[in-house]
Amino acid sequence: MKEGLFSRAMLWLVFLFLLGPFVIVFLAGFSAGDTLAFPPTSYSLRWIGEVLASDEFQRAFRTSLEIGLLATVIALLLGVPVAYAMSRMPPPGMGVIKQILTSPLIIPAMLVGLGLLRHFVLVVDAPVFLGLLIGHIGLLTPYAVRVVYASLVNLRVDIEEAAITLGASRLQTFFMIVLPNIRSAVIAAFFLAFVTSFNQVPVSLFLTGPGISTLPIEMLGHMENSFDPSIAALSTLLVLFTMAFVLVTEKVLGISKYM
Amino acid sequence: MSYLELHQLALGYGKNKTAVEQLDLAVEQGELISLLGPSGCGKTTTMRAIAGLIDLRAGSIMLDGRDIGRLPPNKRNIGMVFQSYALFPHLNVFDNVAFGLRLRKVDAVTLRSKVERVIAAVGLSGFETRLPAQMSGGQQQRVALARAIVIEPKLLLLDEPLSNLDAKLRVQMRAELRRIQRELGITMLYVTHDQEEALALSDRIVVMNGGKIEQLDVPENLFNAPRTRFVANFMGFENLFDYRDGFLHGEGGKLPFAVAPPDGTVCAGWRPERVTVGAGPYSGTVLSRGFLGDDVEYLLQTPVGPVKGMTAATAARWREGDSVDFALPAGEALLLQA
Repeated sequence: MKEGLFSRAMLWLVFLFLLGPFVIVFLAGFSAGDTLAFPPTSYSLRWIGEVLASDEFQRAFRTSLEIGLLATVIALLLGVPVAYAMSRMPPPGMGVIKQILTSPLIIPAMLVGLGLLRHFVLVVDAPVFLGLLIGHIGLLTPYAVRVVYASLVNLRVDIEEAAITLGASRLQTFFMIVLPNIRSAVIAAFFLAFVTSFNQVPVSLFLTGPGISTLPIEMLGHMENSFDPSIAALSTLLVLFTMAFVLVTEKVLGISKYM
Repeated sequence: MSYLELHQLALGYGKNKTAVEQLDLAVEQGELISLLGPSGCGKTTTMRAIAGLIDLRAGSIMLDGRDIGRLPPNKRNIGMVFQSYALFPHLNVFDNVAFGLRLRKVDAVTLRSKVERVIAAVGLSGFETRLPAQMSGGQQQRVALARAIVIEPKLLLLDEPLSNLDAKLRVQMRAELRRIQRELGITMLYVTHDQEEALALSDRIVVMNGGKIEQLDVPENLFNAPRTRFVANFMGFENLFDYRDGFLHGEGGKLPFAVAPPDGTVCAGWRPERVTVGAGPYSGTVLSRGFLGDDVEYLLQTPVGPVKGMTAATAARWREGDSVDFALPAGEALLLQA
């Protein structure tokens, strides 16, 4: 079938709209000049090198990585049992629980961040890293629950009963039968949650503090103070990093079927 | 004391839903007994309670002299074959079958020989490394059976195991089940809604209705001498009429019944093939006719309601709407006291 000229034009416009800004950032990242400019007058790897050598960016990257990995693992440790309980022993008020689990997607993240700030920092006076971590866990757990739940609903209950009649305890059944069959959903949830944490701005904005900053927040701060192409260079690196991440997971696990 | 004994079993779901009430059943060792009944009669619930997959409300389950009614399901050593086979999708045939033995910490050499023996017994040698998804329904069925019997269970429960197979394979697997049961001398409890399957397979049959046992008997007796209307209807006595004071009653009308039945008779029934169509003291109107090869089946509108009868195809000249004589031979009647 031959597509209409109109729909093909629309397709390209959408591509342009989605990828255009990235192309600008990408080219600006390889600029040799001192200020952010498009198109750059000359090209070099100067700013890429600067970014990679920068202490602040390195520290922020490490924080982001730590927060992302820790929060993701904890969110999964919380989320998988919750998803299992929801799918196997639906509690009364299942509808409400599902609503709550989708609320982080509906409630503006800015509000979530403000709420967490009020609570952790002003009321509890928790250490910055801990507050940031808990904030991210709260943000990621619903993702973990939703992705794993979708996979558990499709897993037959009678294979668990079969395992039990063959002598397996509930716990053995979970680890020997359930977990291997939802493995790809758990891995997909891991990557999805990690990327979400890694790119998180609004919540982190409220919860970062003296000495501790995640990469996106550090970048935001840097942008307020200077106008050099380092942000473009860093963004280029990050976009490539994230893209590689998503591409690999999609290729290996086909995460799109869980979303 | 029998091998398996259910005493005053009461089962249900949720707070108020009762599935089974005051059920008593005794099964001997090595017996193949069927729980037969329509869906919702409590047969599957009873079986799941024996497996320990649902809790007892009251009563006890004795197996081989031990009360297992409150044991957790994984401690009962009861094998179960599920209607959907319930094979572990991530494990191949060998690992599916070996699952129960691995949990029992059987050493590797014994495990291998036991698993291979039982895989051979169900005719699947050479399929050890296949995944369930790569096998046909009949093959998956065999794996499910092998997986359940390899643990040498005290009792094997089968939940409509053949209902997902096509007719030909069903008959073949039926014979094979029977052979394996005989060879291993294993006690089996077989749940089905198919009376033909139950009759062909079982030593004894428990017919259940509304959470209660209607009749417990050997297949021959159940087929020839059902004791209640429900069982009679289930066993093919499709023409059932109330009997009172020398008349058959049904749908507000009545027909004279020539012979005086024994005292206490309240119901008389005939299989369609025992109803004579074309001659007899009664007459009816043909509602429908169905050609069955040698015979033609007629559904007649009569004073006591619809009557189903059969006659040889060569003599079946009546069409829908025709008036035709018929007989309900007293000598062929099933007379029920209940």
